[in-house]
Amino acid sequence: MNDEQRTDPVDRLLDSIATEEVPCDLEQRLRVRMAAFRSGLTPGGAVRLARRASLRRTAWIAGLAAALAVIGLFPWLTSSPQDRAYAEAMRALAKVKSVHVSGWTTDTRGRFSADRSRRWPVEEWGWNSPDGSRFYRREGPDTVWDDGVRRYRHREDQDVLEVGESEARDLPSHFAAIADFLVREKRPAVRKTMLDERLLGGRAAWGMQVEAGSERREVWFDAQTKLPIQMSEFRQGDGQWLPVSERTLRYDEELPREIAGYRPPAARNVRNLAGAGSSAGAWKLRVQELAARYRSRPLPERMEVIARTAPIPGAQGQVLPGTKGYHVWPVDEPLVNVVRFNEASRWLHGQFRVPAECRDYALHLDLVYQAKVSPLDRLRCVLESAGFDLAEEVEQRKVWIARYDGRKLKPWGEVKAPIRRDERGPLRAGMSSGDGVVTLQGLFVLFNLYQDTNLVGRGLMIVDETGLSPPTDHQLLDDPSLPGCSEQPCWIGEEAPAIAKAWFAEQFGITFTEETRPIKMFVVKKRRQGSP
Amino acid sequence: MGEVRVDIDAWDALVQPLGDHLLRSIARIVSQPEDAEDALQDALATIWRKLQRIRAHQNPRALIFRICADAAVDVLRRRRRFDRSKRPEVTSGNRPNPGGEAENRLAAEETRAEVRRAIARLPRTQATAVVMRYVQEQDYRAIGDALGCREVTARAHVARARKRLSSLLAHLLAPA
Repeated sequence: MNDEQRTDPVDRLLDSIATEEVPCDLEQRLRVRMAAFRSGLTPGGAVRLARRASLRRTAWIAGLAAALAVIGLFPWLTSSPQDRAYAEAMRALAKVKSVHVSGWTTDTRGRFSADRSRRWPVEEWGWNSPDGSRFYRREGPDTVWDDGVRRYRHREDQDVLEVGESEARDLPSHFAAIADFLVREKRPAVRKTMLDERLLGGRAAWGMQVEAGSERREVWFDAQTKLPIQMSEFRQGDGQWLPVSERTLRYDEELPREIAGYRPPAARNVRNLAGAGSSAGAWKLRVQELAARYRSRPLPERMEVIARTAPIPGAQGQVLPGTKGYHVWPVDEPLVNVVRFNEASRWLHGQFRVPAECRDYALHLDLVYQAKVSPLDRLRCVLESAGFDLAEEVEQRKVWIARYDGRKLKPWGEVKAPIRRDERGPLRAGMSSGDGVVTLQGLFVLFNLYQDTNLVGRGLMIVDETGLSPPTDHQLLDDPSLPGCSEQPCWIGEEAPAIAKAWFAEQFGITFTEETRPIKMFVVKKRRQGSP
Repeated sequence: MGEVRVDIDAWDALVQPLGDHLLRSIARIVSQPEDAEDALQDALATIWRKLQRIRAHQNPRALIFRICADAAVDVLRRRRRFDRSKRPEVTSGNRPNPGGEAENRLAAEETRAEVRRAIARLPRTQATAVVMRYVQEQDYRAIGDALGCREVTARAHVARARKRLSSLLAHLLAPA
């Protein structure tokens, strides 16, 4: 604070704190605390420290005495052999690329066997790939495969494949999850014993044993590398410690091809564990999968089609997470609908032609595209990926040329569809097919849409030569004085053109002249074999 | 795993150089040793947890100071709740009279304690802003960066805090 500010009484009071000399002993205590925090910096360490912080918060509520007790424990917590071993293992694990765990387990309750006398072989691999962590584990008939996006669990005995979200973690986090007991349990009832050094697989190792109630665990660390190399579990029964599992850990071994290339097999029953409703969860997983795909490779310059084998109901276009300006468009429809409902078609109704032989071709794919790519280009890309071309052809078509007589146009709120909708009867030409404000140009497009609902490309079309500049839909909603229509008339059936002609003339002073004009058409064509 | 190494490197580059400044600022706000240790621990754990976000922030240093200020203010507020029922309100009536050196020191100590309690009674953002400004000596731009607001808004937070403090500490501000 400068002198000018110090003249203010509040500033002077605040400065009394800001300039207070910090007692040396307190500064030293804090410095030690900071150094202790820095030396324990590992992912597991951070979790532990956060836990301690939350413990202290609880202690505050109980009273200062409890808080002091926890703080008093701190030096012991950070300096215990268990903590040191844990921290050293974390640091060592941060440097390895893969871990291979092999051994056996009898602990299969609630999974595939209630028989606790049988030893089931365990084979486990965890490794880092350029786009994240991977995990494989086989225990008896259970195989878990985590590709960084999804976690598959194949239960061979039941022919079930469960699909959930990835839980793959880096190796230190994985170890922290399974060996947290080394630092977690601080109750007097938990007995921790350091075990004598011994040779394990020809290497000097030292061990630690943790006993709590009827459970005992042992972890052996390589004396040189500090890495955990063996883990065993025991359970008390019949007055003795019975072995439950034993796992040997090896590091940076060459990854077997069958593990690296493992894919979960097809199963009779597939259960989606990704979320309620499954379809939303499936789409969420798919988007994550697509996002993960581009973590290890560059995004397409404009767009890229990624094929799928099955539809994902309810999938919706969205921004691709982790990217800037990229979206994903799920395509799960017969080809005719892909063309019909494409954004490009919106202003080009009547100008698309999908031949009968192509109409029902099923497309299941996702298009990842940059936002600036036009809807027409997107459609073209999707069609091309399925072996179709979108040819542009000019042909002579019978059209109605719309002209305007210059009268004052009514506000949109005063214009309704020509025939009042009878809710009980079928929808007929001239009735409102739905509420919604439509601009004049929108009314022409609507007419073209109804005249060519099957995308044959031979229906009557309105060509706008009114000279009226169209407002946007938003402008229309904001300004009730603008021309348009408050309903969306339906123009199906043979009588539709006549009703439309009379209505446009009456409501807007717009007349139609029938002419034959060259119109640009977009024709879907199956690509011939051999063509590029 | 590479990320862990990167995080530790980032810690060494970003947090370590600020160490003394951070711990002193916490000690000045939270004078009780055990409270100060608590606040520092909370702040460090938060910084480590959010290190990626801090690295990506436009002003990482300011954000680190803000986290420390928040942690200190949190402890002050918890302490205030805990002490409220026990500690008698100090008013100008029962405040020790300034006299000899020992009494003066005692009075100054009590004044600082009152200022701390008053800060604990401020709305959270105002408390953080005023701590950042007066104790951590951050400029308004940095305070704005850390609070996610414009510089002018940061000034407003500090101004409101000062106004509220002048009312809470009116008995200390009365002319001698």
